[in-house]
Amino acid sequence: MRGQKWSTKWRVWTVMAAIVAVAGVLIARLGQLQILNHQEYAAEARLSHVSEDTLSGRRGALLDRNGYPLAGSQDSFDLMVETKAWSDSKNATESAAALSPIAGVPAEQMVASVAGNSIYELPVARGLNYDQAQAVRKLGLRGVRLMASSQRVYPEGNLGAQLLGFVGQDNSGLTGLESDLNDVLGGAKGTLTYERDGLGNQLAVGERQEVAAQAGANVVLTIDRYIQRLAETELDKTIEKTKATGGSVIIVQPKTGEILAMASRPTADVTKPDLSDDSKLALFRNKAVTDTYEPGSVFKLVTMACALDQGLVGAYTPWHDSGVFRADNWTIRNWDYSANGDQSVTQILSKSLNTGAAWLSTLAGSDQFYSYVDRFGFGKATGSGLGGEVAGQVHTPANDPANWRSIDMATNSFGQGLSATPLQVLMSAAAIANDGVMMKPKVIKEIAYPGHVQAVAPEAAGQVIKPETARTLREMMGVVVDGISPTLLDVQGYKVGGKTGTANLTVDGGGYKPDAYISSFLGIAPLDNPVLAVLVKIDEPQGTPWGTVVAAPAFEHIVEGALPYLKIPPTETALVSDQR
Amino acid sequence: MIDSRAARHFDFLLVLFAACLVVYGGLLIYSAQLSEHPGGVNLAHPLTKQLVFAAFGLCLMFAVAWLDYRVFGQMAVGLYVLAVLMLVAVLVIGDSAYGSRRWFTFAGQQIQASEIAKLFVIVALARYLADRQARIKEVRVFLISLAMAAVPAALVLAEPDMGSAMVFGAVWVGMVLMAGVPVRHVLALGGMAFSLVPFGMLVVLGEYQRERIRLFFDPNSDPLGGGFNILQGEIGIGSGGIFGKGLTEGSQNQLGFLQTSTTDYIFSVLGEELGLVGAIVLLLLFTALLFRGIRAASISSDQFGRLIATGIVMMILFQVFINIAVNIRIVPVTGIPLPFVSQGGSSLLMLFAALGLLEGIVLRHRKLEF
Repeated sequence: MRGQKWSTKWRVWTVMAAIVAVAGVLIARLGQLQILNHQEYAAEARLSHVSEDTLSGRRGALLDRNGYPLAGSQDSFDLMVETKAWSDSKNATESAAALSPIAGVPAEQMVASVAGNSIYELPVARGLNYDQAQAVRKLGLRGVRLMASSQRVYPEGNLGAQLLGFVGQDNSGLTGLESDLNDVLGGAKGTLTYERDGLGNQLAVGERQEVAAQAGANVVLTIDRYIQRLAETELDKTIEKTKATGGSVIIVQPKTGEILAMASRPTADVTKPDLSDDSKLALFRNKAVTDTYEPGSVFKLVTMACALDQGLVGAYTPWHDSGVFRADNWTIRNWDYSANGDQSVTQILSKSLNTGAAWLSTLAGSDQFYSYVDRFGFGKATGSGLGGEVAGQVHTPANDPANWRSIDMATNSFGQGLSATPLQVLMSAAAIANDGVMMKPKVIKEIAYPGHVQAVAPEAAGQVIKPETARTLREMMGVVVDGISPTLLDVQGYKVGGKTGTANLTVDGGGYKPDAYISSFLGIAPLDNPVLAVLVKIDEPQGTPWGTVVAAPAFEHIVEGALPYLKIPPTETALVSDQR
Repeated sequence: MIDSRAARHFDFLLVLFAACLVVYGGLLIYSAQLSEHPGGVNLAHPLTKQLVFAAFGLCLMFAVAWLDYRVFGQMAVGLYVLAVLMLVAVLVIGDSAYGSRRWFTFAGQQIQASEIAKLFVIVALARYLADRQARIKEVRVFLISLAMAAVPAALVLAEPDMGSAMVFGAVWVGMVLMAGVPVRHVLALGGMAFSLVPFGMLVVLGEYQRERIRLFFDPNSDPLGGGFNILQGEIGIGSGGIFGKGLTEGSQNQLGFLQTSTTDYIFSVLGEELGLVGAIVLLLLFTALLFRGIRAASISSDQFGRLIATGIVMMILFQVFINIAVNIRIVPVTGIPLPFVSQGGSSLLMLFAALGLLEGIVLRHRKLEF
């Protein structure tokens, strides 16, 4: 009996020990959770019920040099639908059917974009205007909400499309200046931190912190909407007339480097970006800076500048053209296989003689020749700040000693065997127009931040040739234009200068595309005090490929339109000739 | 039915600790229901229902205590048969919720059959083991007692309700050991059961149970589905820290991240809002309550009473352990209410009836009253 009692007591003690052990195990685990790992769990708890949204400020506008908006932001509304509210397919179909005519989005598309999605809320239509928003509000549909947003608008239509670029649905710039200047235009992002419940709904009385977004800056471009329009119109007309595949026109102020117009064809439509495939995306490329070509005869200006600046020749130095020029074992001939006999140096440009250009480069020697090529900015980016700008390629004895031969310099002298962007080519003429001082091309005039304005000052890239050399070159460019038939180029009231170019079209992987040319005209106006440097470049015109025929008329029309618009007084001599 | 002189033995502390737990649970239910019932406590509030059940429970406790517990011993066979019939019936005509049949609806109230069955089986097992005190070391007695627990456990498992089935097992182990069954029998059975674990995993466990075990080890495999509550409960408790965020201030609870926050996951509400300190207070209350229970076993005048008390203590202890362990993820999810604390009428009434049995044992522990 006594033993029985003792064993019972022992068993009772065992149960008590089990009770204490259970409590001990539980407290130990609780200590681990609530003391040791408390910080991590606290952070997780916060994470699971605190959300952070990014707020965008109003996106700044892109304005032309006179303040006209080229791209601006307009308040709009995004049509948001709560996924849960549309999980009932009947409600979804009915709501979508009611919204469809207002938002202009097919009802099936709306339903499909929401169906099966686990995100709390989704946009079914974007960019609704005030009237549309009011109509949606009047419907009073469950789970449908309007969210304030903004939409990019283009008061000038598709003007300057590739230069401006377009903005994605998340309000960030994807191409062109919209992308290059995204941080400036987009302003500072704000954040909204708020508490939400287990279903993701924002709590009305929860903790709420808002760091306000800063509106983006307006950017005043150097582009002039009138001149840009003029350039695009002439480019389109020329391409249509010559049945060309595309082309570029760039207009720059030689004294400041400010780009007044920049356009290329074919182009994309920023007002309705079509991104259905990569080839459509390629149309957004600003080919005036992203693509290179062999400049051809317009490059003779650089060769001539080198020889003149070195004092090797003067404008009227006599020279004999035998029709051939030999370098290594190669023979250079003129474009028309002509042998012109005794000529002046000026006639090398006016008759565009390849033999003469090759002779000039040989006279200067490769060191000097390539030093001038470099000074004029070839083989290096212009520093325009435009996205995707490339440097072009120049082979020199210095950078490619294994492959460079003297025949290369001979062909380089008339613009073949090297590549450059249209902007680089134009800037070489701009330096000649600006008494030998090359300006950095720029497209931003000033940035108007809320509160202060930051002006972008013109910046010189350097004195590339002597002012006298530049003057001589300008006279020669005038002679070149004088030699062109007035039916092709006859600027009313102004004396202008220029140089034509006709280059073969290179193909990827080397070699030239047969019977395909790039015709160009590089001009400055007015000749005595140039305010404009213009490059008209037409790709693969059908029929006569000569720059004189294809590109010069467009130059004439652009200059005739732009100079009076810029209130540049006609030159006296020209006035006299008009009255005659 | 009771000697008036015996009334002085009434264990007030036992009732006090139980009442404290009910009140503690009431606070937590109030907090967990704050977002659904922001207007305060009214007749429709679950807290009201819980307190009404607690009041009924107290009456039931006094009634059971007043009746001689040995009366239940005479009814043991009938109670056992009734328990088994109820468990069979609930499988056939019971209400289904969350994929299992656990409830009868009787007079507008949902009655969880397994709660009542637990108590009846304890009484029946106590009677059987007490009657065979002299032959307690026989394997036959051991196996019959095992079968008595296994039948209701299997029926409950079929609902399916893994947690309650395990309660039958724990209660049986506690009772046979207290009765003096050789420990080696229990160990041998335990060894056999353990060796059958792989078989059990494949055959006995349903798909939902395997899923729960998988989620136990890796709740992040389905953080927004089955693993959601496991993670949120753990996060809530961990984020509560030592002192908690304050009653009604717990973000996981109040913002609706926790499901079944008044029943199976009520401990998460406590852990988050009242912290480690609140949890320790709860565990102290339970420890004190169970010590009073085991005291009843210790002082019982007969083996029958001792075994009943042991069974009740084991039942409450095991439920407390499993419930909290699920909340703090040391065992896989299984739906067991926290005794006296979780919202639930059947559970509360059964627990107070169990207290009544304990009180009856204490009241009659003297063979003679002077």
